[in-house]
Amino acid sequence: MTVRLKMWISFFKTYHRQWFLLFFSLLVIVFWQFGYPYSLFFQEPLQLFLFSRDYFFNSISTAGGLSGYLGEFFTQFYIIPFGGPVIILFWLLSLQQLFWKILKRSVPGASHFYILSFLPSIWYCTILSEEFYLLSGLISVVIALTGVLLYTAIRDFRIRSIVGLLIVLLVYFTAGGSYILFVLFTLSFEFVKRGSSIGIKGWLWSCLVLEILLAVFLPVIYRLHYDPVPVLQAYITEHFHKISTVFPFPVVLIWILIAISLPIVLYFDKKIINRGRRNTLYIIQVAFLLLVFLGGHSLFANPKAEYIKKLDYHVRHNNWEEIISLCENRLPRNAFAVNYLNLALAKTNQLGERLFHFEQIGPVGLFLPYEREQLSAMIGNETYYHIGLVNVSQQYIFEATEAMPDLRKSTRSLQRLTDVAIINGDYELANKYIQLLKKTFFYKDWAEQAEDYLYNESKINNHPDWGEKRRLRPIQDYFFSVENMDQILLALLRDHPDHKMAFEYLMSYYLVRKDIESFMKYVHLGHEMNYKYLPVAFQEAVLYVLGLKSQEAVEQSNFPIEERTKNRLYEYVDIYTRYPNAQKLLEKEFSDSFWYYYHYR
Amino acid sequence: MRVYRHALVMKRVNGTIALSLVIAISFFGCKEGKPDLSNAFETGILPKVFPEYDGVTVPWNIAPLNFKYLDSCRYLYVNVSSSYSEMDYFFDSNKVKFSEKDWTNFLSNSREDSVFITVYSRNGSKWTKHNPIRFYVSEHRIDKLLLYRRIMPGYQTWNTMGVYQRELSSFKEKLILDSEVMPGTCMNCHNFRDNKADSWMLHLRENYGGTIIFSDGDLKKIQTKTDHTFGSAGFPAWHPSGNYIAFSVNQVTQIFHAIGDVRAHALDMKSDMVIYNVDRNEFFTSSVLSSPNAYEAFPCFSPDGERLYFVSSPSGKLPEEQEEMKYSLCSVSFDEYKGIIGNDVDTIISARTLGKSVSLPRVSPDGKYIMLTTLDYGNFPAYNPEADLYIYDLTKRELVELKAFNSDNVESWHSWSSNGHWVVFSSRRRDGLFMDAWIGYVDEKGAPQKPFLLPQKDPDFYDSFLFSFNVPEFLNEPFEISPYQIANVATKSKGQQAEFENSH
Repeated sequence: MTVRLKMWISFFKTYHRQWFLLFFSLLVIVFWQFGYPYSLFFQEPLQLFLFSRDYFFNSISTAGGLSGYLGEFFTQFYIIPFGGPVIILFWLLSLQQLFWKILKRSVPGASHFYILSFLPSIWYCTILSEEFYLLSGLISVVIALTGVLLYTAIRDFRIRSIVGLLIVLLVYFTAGGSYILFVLFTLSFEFVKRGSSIGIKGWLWSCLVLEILLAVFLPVIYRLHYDPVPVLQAYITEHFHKISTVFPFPVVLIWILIAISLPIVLYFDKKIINRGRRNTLYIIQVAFLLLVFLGGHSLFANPKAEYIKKLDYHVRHNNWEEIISLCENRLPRNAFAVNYLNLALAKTNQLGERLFHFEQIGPVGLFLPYEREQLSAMIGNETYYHIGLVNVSQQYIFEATEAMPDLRKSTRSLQRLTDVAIINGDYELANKYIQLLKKTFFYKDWAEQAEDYLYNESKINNHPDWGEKRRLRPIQDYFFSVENMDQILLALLRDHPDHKMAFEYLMSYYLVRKDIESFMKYVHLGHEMNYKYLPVAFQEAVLYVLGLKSQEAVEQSNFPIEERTKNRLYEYVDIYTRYPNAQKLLEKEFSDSFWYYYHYR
Repeated sequence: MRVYRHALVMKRVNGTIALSLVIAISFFGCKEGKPDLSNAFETGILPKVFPEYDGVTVPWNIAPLNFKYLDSCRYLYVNVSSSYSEMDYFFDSNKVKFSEKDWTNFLSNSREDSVFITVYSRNGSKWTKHNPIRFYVSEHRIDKLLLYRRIMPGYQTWNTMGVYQRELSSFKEKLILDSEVMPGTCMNCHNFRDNKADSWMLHLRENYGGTIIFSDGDLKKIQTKTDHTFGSAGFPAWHPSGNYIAFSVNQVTQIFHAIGDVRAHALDMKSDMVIYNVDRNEFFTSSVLSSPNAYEAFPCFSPDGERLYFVSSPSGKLPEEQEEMKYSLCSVSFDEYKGIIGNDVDTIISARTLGKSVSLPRVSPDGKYIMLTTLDYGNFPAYNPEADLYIYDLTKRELVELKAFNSDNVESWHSWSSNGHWVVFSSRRRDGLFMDAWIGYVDEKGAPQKPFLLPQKDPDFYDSFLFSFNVPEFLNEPFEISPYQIANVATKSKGQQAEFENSH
């Protein structure tokens, strides 16, 4: 071993805690910033955090309300690049540091278990990658551990026990369900501390019994006399999981783990440290952390959802080319992703050109039907909004709001509702949403700008988005039904014969349904769009129909069709009719054509 | 005689000045005395405030009519006076919030009198005086409570909703049942017998669906869909005896509009009426209430229980003919002792003659009037902006529009107070989307006075409140059943299956 290496090892040993902290910090930052950044960008606008006194007092007036309030407060900073990872890191480090301090204070030989102190943080880091788990849950655990730290700092058992009762109350009202962690830990702590002297005698021990009774009955009293929530919610509270009826088992595991950490550390301390097998202990701890991280990742993280959220982020920021580029690198197959891709193609006038360059999945890839869950309605609203069906967009966003799993409102839905209200000239209504958004930190400017537009018709008409939607929205009223989207689009085209996006969506709708008859019936509406040539996918469909008649029909067609497409048709027909394994032969050159979609998809 | 406080300074004619002044200053650390208003600039116009109270009539037991001043200002000085009392308040914001205790005393002493609220505002160094807001305090008390459902105005999905009771003399609100107690359950169609909480019902849909009925101190859940009815029973009306509840059985669908203010319409694709015998857990009907050629809906009994009012329209092809569906107001006799529905239908208001549809008939407690909603077509007025309130005089057989209550937007879901002088109704008049609860006075001749918006403690309340007040109903005594009792009954079993009695 060289001297330099020995120096390095010595340096590492001396500063091993700082090294572990650094490594952990890097891991968290890399995990969130490069692994799942869009999950954080997606979460941020799904809440409505208001900077107002009422909101603060309403929030903290329920069990666990402070952790909920802080969770929302910090979540709003996810909007900033690096904001989310840094905030999560801060709270995970707080958790680790508190746990470490408590371990150190409670168990004499804890210094060998420093690596173990990262365990709850690593586990919680992976838990948070499941979008339904809330930052407030992590904050709740941190608050409870702060209570534990305070509790363990008191040397006098008599005072500690009495203070413990007060902390149970305090933790329950500020951090909610994590009071269970506090109670479990104090019991574990007292049993470990007092060891064999345990005996249920004397009033001091009755404090612990009282603490258990308080822990059991506090939520009962709370729900009976203060806030009539269901039993599970009274004990666990709603700040761990977006769906309040879900039992947050992964978080409960952390509570249990922290509580039983003392006897475990004591056990291993005796078994391993005393036998001089420290390195084995360190290796076991590191291996265990790795296992927990990988296990947590596979359990909670969802790379496929991250892809959708990435597309969603770019849709919200109108980065249409970026979406197409992403889809070129990774073909979308999910209805949400195909929807966003087709919208991006339409927004860049490429829908008719490149429709079949990507895998189409039928009408659902163009228009999402409403399903009673948040995501389909939230994502679905985008297409309707951009095509000018603003009332449908409003309907979808209303439904999305009502389908929010945490029963809350969101800035994202309020912004879209404001858009629609302004476009429709419902200024009183728009103002209501604007006043709410003005109480937020990151949407205040947007709201103030929107406020300037209220009642100013010419200003709205000149707005790049609202003005455009005013020009595109329907003029004649009709009933909306997603099952009859072609009729809806035809009505829109009757109102706006030059509505290119509506035309291309209509034609695409027929083509993905392989409804050639309807396509041919309405393709003439494209004359109003001033195409030099029809978009390629439409050319291919027209040629397919004409080709069924004769080659003369193809050649003498009045449709604006390029020679190149005609030649491709002949080539395609030649292979299609001559070879029994035509599909395989055609796949390379023609899988991006309507003909291939029509025959083989 | 004046009493000054921090942020609010109050004067009472029959109070004791000095002692109160000293106590108040020492307690609240008042820094502001009464400003010198002698040189205040007089605008000669009413102040711009929200909610508006000028010209309204209020009951003497209503909660403080807090409001906010809409023009910019740094300080407000408000003088409230009647012939009997006077109060002065100072505020260092644009919000006027009265002390509940002082307000209660003041209003109680000002019955049958006009009250004037003079608002002085200050932005820089000078005060501006506005013309006083004037409202009239009626001698007739309003019922103690208002019960309503709070729901976000959505389309098909609901998530958060709850039924609450609100004290009308204060701002206290109490939960009856909400979606936290019963997640995934839609709750509505609450109805009481004679504004009392001793007989009531609540309809639940989806999770733990069924009808909760409280009668004779007993809480039970029933299933109202029978082999003889095409759906569950809804839109209830208690018989004054408490022995019967009349229901509509509706097959409702919604259609959504591509443009315009009318976002959606609810349509009855089919509807009949049935009567439920509470003791026997039995439904019965008659051909006049469930004709295959007509849609009957929205029942309401007369106060003596001898007549059943409802609306009816010839059936049609829907949704194509929805605009042809116009409902008439009809009634039949009802024998509560024999439980027999009369055979002769009296058409009180013919939709054909009126050229409009009528809906939601509600008979006044004295039996003299029927308040109803008129709309261009259909019988669900919630989405029809033209929906307005009318009153039908049963003696004169005359239909009169309640112009003082109506606006350019929806007015519907009205309910009488137990003394028949107050009406609460829902209106979308403020922004076209959210239904608010408005309260209006009706005199002995059925003439309405300008209504007022349900007062809230914080004048900013309506700015950020994203729910509608749905189906407001007056209640004269508090609802004592806890949310858990209802949830227990609702969740522990599917409920008793109601039978259908064919012999009627």
